[in-house]
Amino acid sequence: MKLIFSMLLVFCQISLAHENHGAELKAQPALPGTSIFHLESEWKNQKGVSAKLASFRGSPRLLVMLYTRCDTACPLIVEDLKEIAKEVDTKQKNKVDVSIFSLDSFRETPNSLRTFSEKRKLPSHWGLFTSNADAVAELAAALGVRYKRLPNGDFIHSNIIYFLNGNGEVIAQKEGIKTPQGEFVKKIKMNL
Amino acid sequence: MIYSAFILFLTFSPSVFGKEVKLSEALYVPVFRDPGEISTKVGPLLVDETPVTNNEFLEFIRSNPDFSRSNIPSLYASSGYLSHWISDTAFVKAESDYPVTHVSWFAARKYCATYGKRLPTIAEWEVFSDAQNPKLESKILQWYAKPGSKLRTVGQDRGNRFGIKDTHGLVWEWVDNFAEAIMSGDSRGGSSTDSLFCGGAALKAKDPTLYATFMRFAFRSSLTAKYDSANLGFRCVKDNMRGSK
Repeated sequence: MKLIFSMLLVFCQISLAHENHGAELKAQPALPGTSIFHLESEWKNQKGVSAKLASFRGSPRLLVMLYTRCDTACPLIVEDLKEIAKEVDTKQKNKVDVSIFSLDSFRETPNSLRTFSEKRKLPSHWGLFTSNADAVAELAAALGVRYKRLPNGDFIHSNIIYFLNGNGEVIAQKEGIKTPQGEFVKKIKMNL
Repeated sequence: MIYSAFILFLTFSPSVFGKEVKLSEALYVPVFRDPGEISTKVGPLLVDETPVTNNEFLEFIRSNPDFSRSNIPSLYASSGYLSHWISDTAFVKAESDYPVTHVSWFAARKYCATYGKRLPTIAEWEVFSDAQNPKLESKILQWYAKPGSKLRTVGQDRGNRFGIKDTHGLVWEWVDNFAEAIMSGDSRGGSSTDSLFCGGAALKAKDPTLYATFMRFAFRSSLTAKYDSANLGFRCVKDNMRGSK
């Protein structure tokens, strides 16, 4: 009886040790102070799947904030994104990730994101995200995006494309539509 | 049980936290209008009578150590954050009831949320501060013209017609939607920065004589969320469900 008990005890210790080891493997180094992964907001993508920003950890990406009902600047900035992605991808085996975050917490839904993605023929690995007003305000504040909702539901907003490394730090940004992108592309290639 | 009662007392101690003033529903007419903007309904609200003080902010830091000077991520604050304090949890005792300054938008926002409140919007601030009252214009401009004025204990002015104190003459205050104040080259037209913004010029003054309002607009448009300064503080508001119409 005593023997069985002590065997059980040893067994428990082994399995405990094993669990500890697993936890050690999972633990990641602390996030850099300026990482946008500090933001805890929840977003839904065009498939209706929820995600936190920290789930992007490990993969560099292009990021932009816009809204899909916008019919002036937003289609143009998406064309810019496509061109930049194409230039960056030529020498990369894996395609660069692209994430589009909607400013329109009032009307954007996974459905409207999906419709936009289809209409603009966006590559299937691009993620489009929507969330509540607080989440939008905080992400915009962290990035330096300025925006304003007008009474008719349209938005005035900055047109800035960001490049983030796998730790969620902004490495480079390109302001304006159809502005020169050579420097921006160069910085991205150096950090992929 | 005794312990939790003690915590409750500390957190809601009336000696630490200031009064709230009721603000009835009002109409805000923006001076700088974008397409379609006419007026916005504001309130009813409960507005902090005075700006948040060093002492009040210390209580917040004690319950949210992630927002202390040494712990706050640089995403949320710059190196100037609470730089007038002696340490993470100490400041000059005589300044206990001075308005807290050197706070970022992220920290101010978190403070208000912690107590079930929020930062006021631009519209709400402009209404409860009575800032667009022409009778106050010269007083406000005199203060704007004095660079680096000294701080003092909050609540020492007589208060405006709503009974709200220290809106002008002590500190500038954070608003939740400061990022709506967009002032780009496009207000002058033909600038190379035109394409930075979708939707066109945001700066269209209805009455160019409202110079103080223009100064606030320009100030807000220059802010970034992790900015702090020696004369930028904040106060919180909350929606007053039972407020009068």
